[in-house]
Amino acid sequence: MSTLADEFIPIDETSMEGFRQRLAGLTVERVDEIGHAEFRPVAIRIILLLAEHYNRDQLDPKSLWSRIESAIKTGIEKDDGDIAIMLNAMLEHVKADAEHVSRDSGFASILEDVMSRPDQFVGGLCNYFRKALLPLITFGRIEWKKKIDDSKKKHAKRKAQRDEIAEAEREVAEELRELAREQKEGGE
Amino acid sequence: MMPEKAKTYRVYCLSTAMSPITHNRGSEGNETIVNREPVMFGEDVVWIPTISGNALRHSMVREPSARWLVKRYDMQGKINTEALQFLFSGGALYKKKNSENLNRLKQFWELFPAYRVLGGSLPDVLVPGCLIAWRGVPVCEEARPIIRDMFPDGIVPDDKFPRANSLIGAYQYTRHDPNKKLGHISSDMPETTNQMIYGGQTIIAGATFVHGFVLQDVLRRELGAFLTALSVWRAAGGVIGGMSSRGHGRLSTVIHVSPEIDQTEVMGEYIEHADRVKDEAIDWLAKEYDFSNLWERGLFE
Repeated sequence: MSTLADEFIPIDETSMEGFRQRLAGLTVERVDEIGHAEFRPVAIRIILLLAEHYNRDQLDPKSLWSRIESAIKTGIEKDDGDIAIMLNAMLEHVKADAEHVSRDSGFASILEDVMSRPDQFVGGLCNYFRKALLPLITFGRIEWKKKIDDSKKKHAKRKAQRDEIAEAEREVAEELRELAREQKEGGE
Repeated sequence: MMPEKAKTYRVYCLSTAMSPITHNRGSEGNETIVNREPVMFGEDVVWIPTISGNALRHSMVREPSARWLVKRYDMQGKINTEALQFLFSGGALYKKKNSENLNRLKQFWELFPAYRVLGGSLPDVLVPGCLIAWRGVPVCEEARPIIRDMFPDGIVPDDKFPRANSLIGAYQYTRHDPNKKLGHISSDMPETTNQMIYGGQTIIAGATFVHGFVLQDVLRRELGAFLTALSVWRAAGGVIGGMSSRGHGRLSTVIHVSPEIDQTEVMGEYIEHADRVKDEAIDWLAKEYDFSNLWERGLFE
């Protein structure tokens, strides 16, 4: 019988130097430096962006969050390291309007922010979405509610200011009318 | 001639996953969970995926050792369950009276070099092995101190490794209900489908593990038995963990044996030895596990 029959395939051997080189080949430049804490705010900004541009005319407003979930899943499946491609897929999924998106300075700011980060950031962000999607949507929804509440408060404040001004204007007009009446009566 | 001096060998291994690894610690619902262990990372405790020394020892050494021996000695269908259990999983103490016959152990070691390495339990005595298996530790930043301790100085680079959590992936499969497509073949049709979706975590393809073995005070043929096992394991696909039937667990492994040896030469010495003692070894095993009637009936001829 042969000593090295078909049933054997000797394990590949290397020297200690070979081990050193192989281990050196496993090192990474930056991605390990990026922690979850860096992905979270970007992820939430993206969720807010999707909520903002969710097309409520074409899609059921009640499905907002489940649609955002599937938009994110679609976007991260298309990840090739380019944030623009990923966000495009997500925005298309919520049927965002190009006119509105192109005017959105928040969208441009997300693109600029992510593009200024290391190449591996988008991949890391996608992995973070994959692992923590539901909590992220929950955080996003909380932020969205805050944003809506803030907007309502601002609106109410503006309305109150407008009412105050209108009231003041009414008072001034009344005073002026009173003054005119007095002048007229004095002249007679 | 002077008797051969036993030596201690370290076998350093670097194994890269060529497909997802499903080495699990359990399941949650219908989702399997990858085996992870806590390690200190700075002031924190983090959980990193690991491959147990037990799994590596069994898959890479014990099982292929036994498989090779059974084939080489043409023992298939001729040994009993107890012998099978001893060869493939270490056996069990089942005789009430323990034996301390050291000459018998010496004979056993002489006849079965692979089992001098592995140890095990004969029916009436526990036989210590001389193989120490290291756990499989992923090459990740959190495991740096452990990896550094495994290798001589200057081997582990100072640059960063990936973080452990980046090595975890997921899989999802479906078991189709044939009734949905081929229901016309069966005589009855159940009211509900039993299609099942199942999935779980994996260690991603491309993740690399460092692990190793120490063979304490062994002869060349015993080292040869160990390396033969690794070669048989590799030839059989080189898999670890579960789901190999679905393509999981394939490893590409590279080793370094210290002190250096000629792998082919020591494997040859083991095979030559195994062939030389074949009849005596089968006879010994037959007597030990009471299947000598098969032997006497000429089934080994």
